[in-house]
Amino acid sequence: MTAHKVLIIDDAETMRRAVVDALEPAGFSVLTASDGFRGIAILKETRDLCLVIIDLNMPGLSGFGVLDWMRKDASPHLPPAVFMTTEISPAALEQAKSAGAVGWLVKPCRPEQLVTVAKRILAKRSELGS
Amino acid sequence: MSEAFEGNDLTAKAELLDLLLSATQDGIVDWNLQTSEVTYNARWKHLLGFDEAEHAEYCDLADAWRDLMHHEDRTHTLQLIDDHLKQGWPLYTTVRMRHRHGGYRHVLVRGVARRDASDKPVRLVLIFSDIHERIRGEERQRALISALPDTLFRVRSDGMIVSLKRGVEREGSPFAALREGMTLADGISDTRLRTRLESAFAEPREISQDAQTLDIACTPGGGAPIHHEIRIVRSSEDELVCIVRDVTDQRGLEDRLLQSQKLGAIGQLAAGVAHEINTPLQFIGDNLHFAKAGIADLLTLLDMFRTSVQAAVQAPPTEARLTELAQAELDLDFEYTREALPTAIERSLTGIERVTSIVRAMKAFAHPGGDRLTPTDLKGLIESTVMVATNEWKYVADVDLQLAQDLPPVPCIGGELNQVVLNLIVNASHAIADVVGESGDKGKISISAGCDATHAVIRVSDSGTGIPEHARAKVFEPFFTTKEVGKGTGQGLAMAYNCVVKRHNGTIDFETELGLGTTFVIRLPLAIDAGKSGAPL
Repeated sequence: MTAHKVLIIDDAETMRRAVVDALEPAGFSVLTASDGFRGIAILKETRDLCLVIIDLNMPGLSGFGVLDWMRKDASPHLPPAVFMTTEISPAALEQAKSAGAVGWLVKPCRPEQLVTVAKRILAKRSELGS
Repeated sequence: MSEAFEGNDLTAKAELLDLLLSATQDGIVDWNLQTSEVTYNARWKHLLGFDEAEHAEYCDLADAWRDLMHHEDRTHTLQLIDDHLKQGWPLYTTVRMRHRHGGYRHVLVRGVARRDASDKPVRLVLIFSDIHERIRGEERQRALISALPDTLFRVRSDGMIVSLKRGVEREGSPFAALREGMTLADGISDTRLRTRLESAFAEPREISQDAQTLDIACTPGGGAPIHHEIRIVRSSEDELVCIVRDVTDQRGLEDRLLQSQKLGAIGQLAAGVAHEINTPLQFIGDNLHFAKAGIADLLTLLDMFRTSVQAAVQAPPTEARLTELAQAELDLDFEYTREALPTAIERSLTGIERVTSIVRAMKAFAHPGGDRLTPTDLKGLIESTVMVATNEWKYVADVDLQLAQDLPPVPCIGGELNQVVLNLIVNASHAIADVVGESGDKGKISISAGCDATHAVIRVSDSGTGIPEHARAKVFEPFFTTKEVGKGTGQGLAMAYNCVVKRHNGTIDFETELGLGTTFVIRLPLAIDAGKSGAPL
């Protein structure tokens, strides 16, 4: 069985590394992108992603920008999206939900928390898929 | 990091927990999802005004936290709790909680569920933080901002306009089309403003923290110009706040004020001119009175001589008659009258000449042509202005004119430029008056006009007090004056600046030394710049 692929889009290298370090031991294969545009490029060409984790505040294209693109593109192969931020606000949460995100992680998050979230989303997806 | 946070010592953990619960300012609700049992900490009860001993019973009920929540917020919050428990969404929302003493408090509710090995939530901790004052403050701030007539927006360092509060914008305003989410390149049409906004991020924050102001004007569809005053403040490392105020009406008023100041100055001058005309008129009167008496004497003598001549036809005049005539000549002082009468007439004519030249100068000053740049005789313009202003300077100074004879006609708006020269002469006189006082001494005002290859240059120098250091940067600002109340309006040099720089595309500067005097230098382009010619006010 091939490893489940996860994409992390975050301008902070430490965060990208943290996600790789948390998910790879749990059997995930992690792709990284350092900004929204690079992230979209990977989303376009990688057909078997099972999850994308997106930082909300990035220079250039923000996390909402990426999600917006995903919603407009609407290709069936696009994976569910989870936001990851340090700051949180009720309004941003609402916006994320209505923009189609499936989850939200608050930084800093523990490695096991990341794994749990990833697994939970995978489980839900396979439930729906079957 | 402390053992208690990360380690396995249960006593230490329990102790830390107790400490945290007593130190926290937050209300905590602990909800056992398996038994449906709910416990509250003391702080939670305090938050809503319940006294622990007397009235706490109600609050101990499992549903109290739901019941006390504003009904409009309840459904939404329960949905968020559901999202958190089922899908792991962060639980983070603001609600209104009923306070025991009436009214509602704004409370931030956060929550974390504990899950068992199969990811099933078994326990939910809800944390209630009182954010009432903060929300009230924000509401007040919002109300304040929305009451402002200005347009406000924030710009992120990547050029995105992130929030916008639209003010009262008149039709055709370049800010009317501004929207949130636009970039500076799309939203700001004025290149000067755009460049300023973009470059503000390049400056160290300390510099750009103070508000910078910028005036911009535009003429939508060639109509009446719209003026905006822009303030730019750096609010953080990567954000600017920009406040846009429509100052069109204000600029219009300022222009009108300048106009009325001009009329006021002419009114004041009129008093001086009346005085100037009065002196030669008195002098003309005196001379004419003298001439009248002299002519009466001459006519008396002439009559006597005519009678004698007619009598001489019959018989030669007697010795007695000749003596009589000689005596009359002596009595009426014929020699003196004969000598003085032409002089008196001559003087009267000189007086009339003087009155005529004053009136001519006044006319030239008041009606020097249209409001467009037209080739103008600067020499004549300066001469007439000096003449009209005579009463302003003649008691305190002598005026020395050095006007080049070969000065070519200079494109200018005569009616405004003579006002500028007048203002400079009046200022020079005031500065000299401050030096000479009532002593009767006189200072000197030197006015020269000449030109170089590209510009006509007018210099107005005085031997006055000089401009004090603190005032130098402000002399051209409207309403800035160091003169006593009633003497200065702070409009003269502002008008001069406006006229020379904005209307004539020239420059006005000054050199000054305390105790020695000041020289104002006006440079006017000899060629009309097509873009600037006769810009309407």
